[in-house]
Amino acid sequence: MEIDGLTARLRSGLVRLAGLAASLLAAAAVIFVAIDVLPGDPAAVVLGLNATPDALAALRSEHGFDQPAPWRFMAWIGALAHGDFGISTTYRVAVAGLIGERLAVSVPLACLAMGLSLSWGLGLALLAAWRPRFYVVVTAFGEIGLAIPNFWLGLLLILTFAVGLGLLPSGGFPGWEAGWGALRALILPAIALALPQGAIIARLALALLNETLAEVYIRTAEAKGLSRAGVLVRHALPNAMVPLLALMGLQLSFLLGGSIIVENVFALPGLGRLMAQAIAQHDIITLRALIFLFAATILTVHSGVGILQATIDPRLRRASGL
Amino acid sequence: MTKRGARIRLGIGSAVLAIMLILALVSLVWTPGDPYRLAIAQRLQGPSWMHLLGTDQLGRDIAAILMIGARNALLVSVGAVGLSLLVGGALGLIAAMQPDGIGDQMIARTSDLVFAFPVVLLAIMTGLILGPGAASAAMAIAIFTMPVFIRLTRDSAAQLREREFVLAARAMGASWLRIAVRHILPLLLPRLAVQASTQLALALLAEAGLSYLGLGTPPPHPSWGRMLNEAQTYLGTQPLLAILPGVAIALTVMGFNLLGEGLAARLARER
Repeated sequence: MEIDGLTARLRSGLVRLAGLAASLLAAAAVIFVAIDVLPGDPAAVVLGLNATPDALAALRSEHGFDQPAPWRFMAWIGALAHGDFGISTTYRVAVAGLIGERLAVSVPLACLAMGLSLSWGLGLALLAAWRPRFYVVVTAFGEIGLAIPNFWLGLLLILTFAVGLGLLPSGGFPGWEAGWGALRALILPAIALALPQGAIIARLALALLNETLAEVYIRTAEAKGLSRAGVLVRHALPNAMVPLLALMGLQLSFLLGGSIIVENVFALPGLGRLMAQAIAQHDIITLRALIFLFAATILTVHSGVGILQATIDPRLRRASGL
Repeated sequence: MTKRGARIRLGIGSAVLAIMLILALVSLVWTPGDPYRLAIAQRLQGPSWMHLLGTDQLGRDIAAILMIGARNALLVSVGAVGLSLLVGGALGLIAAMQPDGIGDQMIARTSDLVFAFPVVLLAIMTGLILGPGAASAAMAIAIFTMPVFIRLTRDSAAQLREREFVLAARAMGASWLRIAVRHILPLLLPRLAVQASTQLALALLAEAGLSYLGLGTPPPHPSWGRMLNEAQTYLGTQPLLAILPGVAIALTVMGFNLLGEGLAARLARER
């Protein structure tokens, strides 16, 4: 019985891995067709309308644009598998290196924003579930948080805390050598990302908590004499966590998309900024690498969340038939 | 949600949206000052009787460009969500009529794939293919919102498909196409309307973000997102320029959200 469970879990894991690999390949194909094939000659896209035939020919042979599209696709996928993202057409250096430098800004920012949004979202939801008179306040916060674009919130934060009060920097990044100064530079962008995100989490967490609070075992726990707070933390919260986890996974796409814009608001040298520069300079090699990196991250996290959910909640294993 | 809560939401939501719509429509025939005329001498002024909300960095009347911005925002988001609703609804109906078919599988896989691309990435790709501008932004937003419509139509239609009236229509010799369009689609419309309202809120946010990044409506046409981008240079001198377009975006998005929630609550009670 135990062994059966283990092999079943192993098999389901393998099936999920194969599914992930297929999705990654499909995403790569979509990106390649959209960036390399449909806009026309890649060399002309990079150099613009006024390029000389010599320059076009040189660029074509330098980046292999003269090869047929299917061959270029295979070459790109092969290189990606080795961690080779190609050579940037503007910076003339390896894209992998460019991305590596920027990850040191983007990853901490995303983690900070995720942590902040989770704590403020869950906090608000617990508050409303604990004392129903806060319900209206929390709903209003949620409604406002849903409507405020994160980049505008960023501007308002700059206006208040940088221009007005002079407490925090209005943008830029001093590098991690600066220690506290580097963290200070990430505070406002993280808040700009986390407040709207937290509002979404708060709404869903509250709905999930209310759903669990209506269950019979909650009444039993209350009859045993457990306090409202005790019921919430011991019984309602753990049961709400599994669907919330799935939501967080889906929200990652919004968070990463938002971070692209917010990094530009605060002039942070992260992946989003690199992407905006690549758009402006028609650097399609960097663009397709970045887009693939974002899509691959999201697909991997979605798939990971699926496995994690199945591990936490055994019912999902049976329901999925694996 | 209480009955009163639903009524309040419907009221506020439709009032805000009505005001925005009126401002957008009025801007077609009248604006408080020429939004395309540059008057550098009068740049970055505060509110006055001449310019109710002040002037921007090129001396244009802010109230006028905000009104035209409303037109642009509503046009792009309604266009995008409309397209998404039409195509997504049709695909969802097709999938529901042949459950477990190859088409059903392909539609499900494709919409999972779309979830992997934040709207900014979609807009970069549509921008490269169609050329940058409002059309490629709208196309990106349409693709981005489509999986939700596909899933909703497919799941709801698959439920209705098992009902007796479908069997009755089938017995009378109606084709699947006729059943889908004449019998199932009308029952789905309320649910689709609720979803469309929520998606319009998302579409408006996406449009603003894309315009901020320069992936949306190109200059000189006013757009709320790009106004915010341009305002950033003048945060110290004219903060109003950075506040007003954001307020306009937030109000409109909230209008769509409130309307959607109010409609959803009313729909849930009727069922």
